[in-house]
Amino acid sequence: MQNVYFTTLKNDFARGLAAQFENHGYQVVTESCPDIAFFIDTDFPEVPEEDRQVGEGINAEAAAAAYRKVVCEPLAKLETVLPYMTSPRRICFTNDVRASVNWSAETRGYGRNMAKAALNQILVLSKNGLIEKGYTFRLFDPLLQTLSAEQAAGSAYAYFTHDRFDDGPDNKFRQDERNLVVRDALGREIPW
Amino acid sequence: MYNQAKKCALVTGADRGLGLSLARDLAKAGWQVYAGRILSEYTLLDDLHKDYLNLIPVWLDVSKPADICLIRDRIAQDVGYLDLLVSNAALMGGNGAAELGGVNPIDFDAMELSFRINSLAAPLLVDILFPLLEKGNMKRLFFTSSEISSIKLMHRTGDMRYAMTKAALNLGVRMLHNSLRPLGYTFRLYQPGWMKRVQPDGTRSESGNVDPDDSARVALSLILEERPDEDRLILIDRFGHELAF
Repeated sequence: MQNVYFTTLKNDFARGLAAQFENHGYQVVTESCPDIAFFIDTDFPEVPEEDRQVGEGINAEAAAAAYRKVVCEPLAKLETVLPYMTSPRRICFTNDVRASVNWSAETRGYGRNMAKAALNQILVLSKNGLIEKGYTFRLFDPLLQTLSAEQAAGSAYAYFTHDRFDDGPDNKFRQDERNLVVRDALGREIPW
Repeated sequence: MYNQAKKCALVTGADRGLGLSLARDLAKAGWQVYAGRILSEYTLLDDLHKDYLNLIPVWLDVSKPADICLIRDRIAQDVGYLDLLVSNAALMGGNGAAELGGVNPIDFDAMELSFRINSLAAPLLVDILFPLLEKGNMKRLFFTSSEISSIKLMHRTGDMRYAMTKAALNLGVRMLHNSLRPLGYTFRLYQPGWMKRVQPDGTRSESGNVDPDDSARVALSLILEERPDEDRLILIDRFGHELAF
């Protein structure tokens, strides 16, 4: 039986997604163990104290706390799990349009949103190195403002478990797996 | 209080490199320039101050809000307004920069410090200096980014620390743009090129392919010239090429 590592099960989306995996014969774990097929960051940390816009007194410590929750905590967990991962060695994170440099319309939450943009870059850069070792990556916006947690979990399961084309480093025309993108629960691509 | 015809700028990270050259060029053009410094081994700003009394070196650690508040109060007392902020201070990745699955474990403390200096400082500076910027006529915000900030163009496998902070900077600048462009602020997001490191004696390192003086000349023209498309936030290099985010 393959294991699926969740960073947390403390929200409806995480529990719904865990149920999807369990229904398909996977075992859900929240501690590092052998034979982990999927690493999934299901946490949605919010730091209310940093919800200020420019001119209102941005709270640097709250922003740094948001950065630690968004970037450091899941990466530290991933670092411990990474050596134990087995095929498809899939690393899955959530993100959304608030962290899109191209599309963000946000004026509040600097720490959280900047940290999520940082995470995008970390995952692309890590993918560039780790894909040659068999690791694959997914970035997903569950659209929890629009969809129910159950709908979002169903869409996430489909996206996370579906393989993408990859004919290897030399075939430039079929390298979808090497081209990490953010997709939302309706299948739309969100630009970086 | 100064005649507001005299422009006033704060340049962070001005001990050396682009910040030093840009601070000098602004002072040469007659601006009142507050030049942020943090490296005690560098005295190039002191040398410039002898030639340009309107260039004032100030100690400034951009990761510390209290430091920024002190500079704000100093400028408020001296001048009363700020036309231009050049947010340029940065901490490079350095040896052993983080890599997921690399030989060494990720140094999360080093990553956070880089995030505070390279990313978070930009909105923090604007936030704390906002009352002065509001009184300035120009309302121009300049941020030194990097080619390595582009997620779309990212082809590297290492130096995660620097790359992630510059991507975060771009997002922070986007958020500032969302808030402040409707208030008349204009933005410059600049990729200065791979610059030669300026040593404490002013000589240049062998590595790098751009002299900071050359990159600063382009930066100055970007600062001084109006753009026909100010509503667009763009990342631009020294050749005028627009880079994808």
